[in-house]
Formats: sequence, structure tokens, C-alpha cells
Amino acid sequence: MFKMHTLFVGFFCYVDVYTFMSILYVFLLLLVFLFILIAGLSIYKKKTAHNKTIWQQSITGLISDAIFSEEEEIHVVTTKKMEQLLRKSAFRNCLLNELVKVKINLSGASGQNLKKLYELLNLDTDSYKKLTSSKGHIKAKGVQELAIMEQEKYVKKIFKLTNSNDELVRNEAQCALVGFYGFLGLRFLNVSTLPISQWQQIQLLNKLNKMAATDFEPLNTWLESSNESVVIFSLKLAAYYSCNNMHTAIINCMQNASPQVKLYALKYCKKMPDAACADAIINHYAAADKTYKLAVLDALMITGDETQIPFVTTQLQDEDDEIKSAAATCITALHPSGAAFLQTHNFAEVNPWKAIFLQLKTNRAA
Amino acid sequence: MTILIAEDDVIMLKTIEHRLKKDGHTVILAADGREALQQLDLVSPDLIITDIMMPFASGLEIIEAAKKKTGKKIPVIILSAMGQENVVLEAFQLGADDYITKPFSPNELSMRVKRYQAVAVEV
Amino acid sequence: MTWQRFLFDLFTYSILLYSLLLILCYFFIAFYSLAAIKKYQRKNSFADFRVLAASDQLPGISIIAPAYNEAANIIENVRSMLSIHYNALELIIINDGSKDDSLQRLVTAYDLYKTNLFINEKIPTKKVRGVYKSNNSVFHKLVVIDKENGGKADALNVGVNIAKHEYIVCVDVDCVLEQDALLKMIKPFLEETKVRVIACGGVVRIANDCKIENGKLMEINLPKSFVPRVQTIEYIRAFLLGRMAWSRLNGLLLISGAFGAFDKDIVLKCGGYNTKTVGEDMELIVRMRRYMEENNLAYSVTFIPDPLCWTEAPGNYTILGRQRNRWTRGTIETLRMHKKMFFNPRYGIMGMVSYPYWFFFEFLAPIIEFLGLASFVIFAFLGLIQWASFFTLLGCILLFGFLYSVFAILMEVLTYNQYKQKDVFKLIVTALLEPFIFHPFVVWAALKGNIDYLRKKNSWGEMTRQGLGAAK
Repeated sequence: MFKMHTLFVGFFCYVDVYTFMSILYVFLLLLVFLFILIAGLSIYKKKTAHNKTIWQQSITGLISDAIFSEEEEIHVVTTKKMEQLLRKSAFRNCLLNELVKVKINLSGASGQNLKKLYELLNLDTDSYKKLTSSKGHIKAKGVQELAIMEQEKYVKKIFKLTNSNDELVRNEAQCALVGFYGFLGLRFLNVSTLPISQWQQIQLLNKLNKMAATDFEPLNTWLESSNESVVIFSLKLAAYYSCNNMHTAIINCMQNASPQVKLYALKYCKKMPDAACADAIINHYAAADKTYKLAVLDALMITGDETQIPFVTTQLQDEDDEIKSAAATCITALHPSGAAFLQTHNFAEVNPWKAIFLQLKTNRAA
Repeated sequence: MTILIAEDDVIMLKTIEHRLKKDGHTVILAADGREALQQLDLVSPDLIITDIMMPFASGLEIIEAAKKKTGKKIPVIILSAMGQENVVLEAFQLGADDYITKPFSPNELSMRVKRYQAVAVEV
Repeated sequence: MTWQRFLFDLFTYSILLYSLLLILCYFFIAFYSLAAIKKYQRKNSFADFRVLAASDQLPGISIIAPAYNEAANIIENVRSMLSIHYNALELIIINDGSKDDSLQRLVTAYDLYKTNLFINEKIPTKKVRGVYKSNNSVFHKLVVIDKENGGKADALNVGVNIAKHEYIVCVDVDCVLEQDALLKMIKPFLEETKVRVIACGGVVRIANDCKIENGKLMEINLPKSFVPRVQTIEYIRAFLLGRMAWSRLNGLLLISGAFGAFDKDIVLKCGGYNTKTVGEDMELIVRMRRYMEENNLAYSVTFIPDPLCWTEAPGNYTILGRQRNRWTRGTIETLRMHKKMFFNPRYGIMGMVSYPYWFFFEFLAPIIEFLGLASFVIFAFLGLIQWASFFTLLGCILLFGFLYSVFAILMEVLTYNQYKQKDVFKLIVTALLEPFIFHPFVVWAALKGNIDYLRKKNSWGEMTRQGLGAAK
């Protein structure tokens, strides 16, 4: 909510009229300035939009000629007009943006042709210039362009930026490395001291999507990193790639003080069930908080077997209804007779157990 | 063969058009979900190629609309940047016939389109 | 010096000081928000939202949308929300004891059946009559809850109890959300590495006269009639400048009830929405912040400036009056419940800056304005007023208000530029008219809110909706 001219201070005697007059003039000047800005901005936006529509045709022509070129080398039809345009930095930037946008979407020969066009027009020097800028967002843009255009020759420069203090630059540099080398590109985790945000982890995993990896040895080092976010990310990676020989290292992680690390270790155990895991999980149960307890019961559904049923059954007596419910769900999954087993309990007809069990029974039926 | 292409990136749209025209297809373009739905009222294409995330209507809605509006089964190829399993499964569940993940190769797309041509001729 | 003179001086100088402070605050807000928006836009230009929306690594979100007598558009609205792109999503519609046939319509349209879901009543609420899910697997994200009428806060609490995901997004059921709205809302929660983000607010934009088809925004138009058009300016000022600046300061006290995301864990620990106030949206944020401060946990409340949520604004003065009356009562109630924080250094920025700001410049402003006007009339009668001073000062204040509005419009043009050039001009003209036509009414409604609060009139102003989109 906004309140305007909050008062009518009109009854002023001692303050000079001229003081107010001058304030009035200052406001008026500011107003005029704002109007000029709005008008200027509208004209500028119109002009760039206009330029874009004019250039669009040349750009589309350049790009689609390149995409469908069947020769080994890419040729640019060098008309005088085109040469002139290519000297304009605004045009080059516009072309570069479009090129990047198309390149993300194309693979195979067409994608390679775009890369050749990019190199032929020396656009990589444009991108490199951005990379050396002192402004973070421009630097990050440069990294992004070089990465999408597969300019691996700049990898040394980019690698140095993976631990940059500017978060934007750091994130883009990390994404670039994964883009170049897939899982191997993650070697920046060895030297990462700054936190990797959850968002960035999701972006990296997304970049890794479908990229094959064979040697997961580095994961063991990363799991022991002093950077907590690296440990969490490695746990996610282990689950993502279904690494099945990491159990010892990951059970070790459960000794970690950070609740986040423990939760992600549990997630791994849930994905890659193993007999040793189930016992390790239960060991830490009693002292843990509710979130962790719920996660344990959830993980046991998959990793556990009948030997854990007595333990889970005692959790039905927990004060918290949510834990009761999770325990009941867990038992249903572990016991061979499923939800029917719950009915054998002597409190099965008492609420809240009655309601919890009823839900499970109908869930199974549906 | 008449093909409806729905894709919100202009250059991508032109690129696909260019490639498919070379194969001798008739191509109808839609720059967003709404245009695609409008086109479906006017024409009944032999094949639809559509992105998922577009302004106004998503590719998944176009699958359903195509069934409803034309009353016949038009093959749909989804062309999307989202390659995650859950989306692919959802698309197939809703009736998509093929799913291509971006980045994609226009030549591959052309070959996949040809398979539907063969089917269309047989019928 | 006579005592009258003394009283007069005291009064005028304190009012002058007050307005000076207010103007300084607005200058500060304007410039502080500028950098925040710029930074946000730069950062977001690097994210590929189209690919990430489907990622299975994203945390789950439960949308909670309470509905009361919304039968007219409920089917459309639900369809629109179901089409939002997000992987782990659950849509909880709460029928808060509607007197119309909302529930029957939903059951038929989405092929619903009644389940035996066990509800863990972490927050006590009114009785839940039934939980419904769809037989059709296409609608597997949908959960419909039928409960006894208990007001908006109570309905939201049922949603919080049932929500299975770790983040909740509370929306009004008639809001139109952009397709990537949820992904953009969840991003601030995941980006922060040092502190815990407990809530994130979003911009609400006015959808009157916009073209809406099948629950999707097709064309953005400036409202044709005056009342919603002035509100367009109000909303741009409040969201693009005000909230953006407050969130950068980490002093944001209000996230609109129409569109906000919360960390469910903290909401539960605080006991959910308060059913005893009509300003439940503001009260919850204040209580969550208070909880974090009292437990010495590092946190932040963020805000994103993208126009992601569109809603119908009151189209005439009667409904607007009721809405503002309710807002005023909500503000007073919230401030009263948490009066302990007033200039209390224990509560950091919230206690020392945000709370006092709300007290002086949101709650007291209409009262002071009214008192100013009343005393002006008295002083005029007594012949104490120098008219030349009066008019220049009045000019200053009106001009400043206009200046601030124009700055807000400039920010809109600079950032999202949603309106056509011709409409920008219309907006400026509207801003010029606002202090004469619209503003007095708002002050009056706020005063009535104060009076109603004193009379303990605790009911919700009924908001009759004119129906959005479906009629067209």
C-alpha cells in the first residue's frame, strides 16, 4: 500500500516560501528528467527492435545456409552489405546471440556447421573479449558462449574461473567444463572451496544428463572433501550414476555432522539397496531429528528386509503421528503379508492407528 | 505430406521448415501454442511436430486438441529440450508417437518424418 | 508566545518532519530497488528454465489454493494450474464449505473419488469432510479437499497439513499463473548457500481487461476503467519498487496472499496461519521471521520481480473499499500481535526498521493525513494560514507523489515493458489524476478500517467476483 501527500501542511508561517519553491523546482527538474528517460527509452527500444527485424533476415540467411551446407568448409556469401554489417559490433552481437540460441538446439552435422561459422567469422574473439571483462555478468556471458560453441582451446582460462568469487562466473565456468568433458569435467571439484548452490548442482546434473561415465574413482576423494556442498553433490552423483561400490564411503558419510549430508546419504542407500546399509541407517536413528527419522523409515522400505520389522514396529509407538504413519507404510512394504500384518496389532482398532492403517489398506487396493 | 510445425523460436522454426521443404513436404508454421491450435481449426495436417514449452499452449495440449479438433489420429512428433524420463513418458501416455530431444539433428528429423510418409501412403 | 501558537508550531513541525522522513524513505526505496532488479534480471538470464522445469532433482512443491464459492470458474482455474510445468508438483484445492456446487463440478470434471487419506492434524483446523483424488491418471497431481467453512486461514492450514512436499505455494484459486512460475519461485530457495530462505514472494499483476482463454493469459491489456487502472500503478509501485527494496534489505514483512512460496517446515514449526486475523498473509510472515530471530537462525525472505501471477482487481469503489478496509484491519491486527518487536534491537532489521516503517508510514499515514486535513480546516478558520506557503508546499507534495509514480512506470518500461507505448502514456495521466480522485477514497477506506477494527468487526469483506475470462 502506498499513501500519497500524507498531509496538508499548509499552515506554515516560519519556513520561507522560497525554500519550498526551490524544492518544487528540483522535483520538477527530476520529473522532466524522468520523462526524457521514458521517451528516450521507448525510442531506443523501438530502434533496436527495428534494427533487429532488418537484421533478422540476414542472420537467418547466414545461419540456415551454414546449417545445411554440405561441403567440408563453410562459405559466407560476401556481399558488400554483409561485410559492412559484420563490422558493426551491434550486429555481431545480435548474430552471436542467435547463433548460440540455435546451437543449443542442434546436434550432428548441423551443429558442427554452426561451430565452423562461428569460427569463420572470428566470433570467438568477441566472446573472449567478454571473458576478460571486469564485469561479472559479461564475463559469465563470454564463458557461456565459448562453452556452447565448444571452444575447448580456452579451457585453461575457463578452468581458473571455476572457483571465481563471482557466483555467476563460477557457475557458468563449471557448466562449461561439464559441457566440454562430461563427468571428467567435474575435476574442478578437487579444488572447489566455495559452496556450490543446490540450483547449480541441479544445473550440473542436467548437463551431465546422458553423458556416459566409466571411472567413478574421483567420487571417493570428493566424498571426503572439506567443502560440504561438494560432499552433497558427490552423494547425488553416486545415486545419479547408480554407482554400486560406494557403500562403505557413503556409510562413512553418515557419521558426518551435517544433517543435509546424512539425508543425501540416505537417498543413495534408498536408490542402491544393500544389506550393510540398513543396519548403518538404524544405528543413527535414535538420536536423530524428525526429518531424518522420516527419511530413514522411507529408505528402509527399499533397503530393509524382514529383519528390520521389529525395529520399525517399535516406531509405531512414537509420539508423532507422522512417524507412526511412516512406520506403518514401511511395515506394509517389508512384511510379506503387507497391510494385513498391521491388523494383527492389538491397537489396530484404536485411533490414530485405525485411520492410518485404513489408508494403507485402501492404498494397496487401489 | 502436410506438416504442422509448432515452435516458438523463429530461427529454429525456419530451420525445420527449410529442411522439410527440401524433402518436398508442405509446411505450415505456428510460432506459439495458440497459433498451432488456430491452424488445427483450419487445416488437418498429416503430421504434427511440436515443442512442449511454448507460450499460450503447451505441446501436450496440442496432442489432445489434435485428437479432438480433427476427429482422427494425426501422428505427433514431440521436439523438446526436456529429455527427462518423466516428461517423455507423459508425452507418450498422452498419445505422442515420437519424441526427439534437443539438441537434435535436422537430418535425423527428416528421416523420422519419412517413416510417417510411408505409413500415410499405405493407408 | 501564547499556548495556541506553541501548539500550532509543535503540530506543524512534527508533521513536516514526518513528511520529510517519508519522502526520504521513498527516495531510498526507489534507488535501492533499482539495483536489486537489475541484478536479478542479469542473474536469471543465465538459467535455462525450459530444460530445468522437468528436472527430477528439483524439490517437490505443493500448491495450496483455497476456494470459496468459486464454482463459476473453478474448472478452468484448476485446469490452468495443472498445466504448469514442474516435475514434482501436487495441486491441493480446498473447498472451504462453499455454498455453491464447486465440489460437484470438480468431481464430475476430473472424475474424482473419495479416498481414506489419513490427515495428520499438525495444525488444528475445522473438520475435513473428505479428500478426493482422480481416477484418471492424467490428473494424478490433483487433490481436492472438502471441509467445513472456516475462513481462508483455516483452509490454508488444512492444505499445509495435507501437503506432502517440502515447499508450499499458496495462491488464490482465480489467479492465472505463468507456466514457468513455480520454477522461478523455487530458484531463490535453492540458490542461497549461507542462510535459509523461509519464504519467497511474487509479483501480482492486474488482469482486468486482459484476454484470458482456457485459464491462460493470451494478451496483456491495460484495464479500461479508472479504478483498476490506478491499481495497476499502485501494484507496480508496491511490487516493483517497495517489495524489491525491502527484500534486498531483508526486511520484507508482507508476501501477498495471492502468490507466495514458503518453506513448509518453518510454517509448521510456527503453527501455520493465524485464523484470528483478516491479515493472515502478513501475520504469517511476521511470525515466521520472529521465530527465526528468536531461535537465532540465519534466514532471509526473498522476492522476485517477474510478473508471474495475474489476478482480477476490484473493479468498483464498493469492492475496493471493502478490500482496503480489510487490509487496514489486517495490518493493525498484525502490528498489535507483534508489538513486542517495536524498536526492539533483538529483532534486527525487522524490529528496528520494518516494523516501525509499517507502524508509521502504513498504519499511521491515513490517520495523520486525515488529522492534517482536519486541522487545516480549523487553522484556515482561525486565519493562521499563509496561502502562498500552503500552495507551494501542497505543490511539492503532489509533485513528489507523481514523481514517484512516474519513476515506477519508468522501471516497468525498463524491465518487463508489459504495456504498449500508448498505454504507458495513459498510465502517466492516471498517475496525475490519482491524488485527486482515487487517493482520498483509499484514505477514507483505511479510516473506516480503523473504526471497524475498534468496533471489533472481524468479518471478511465478501469479494464478489465478476468472473474472469470464462464469460468472454
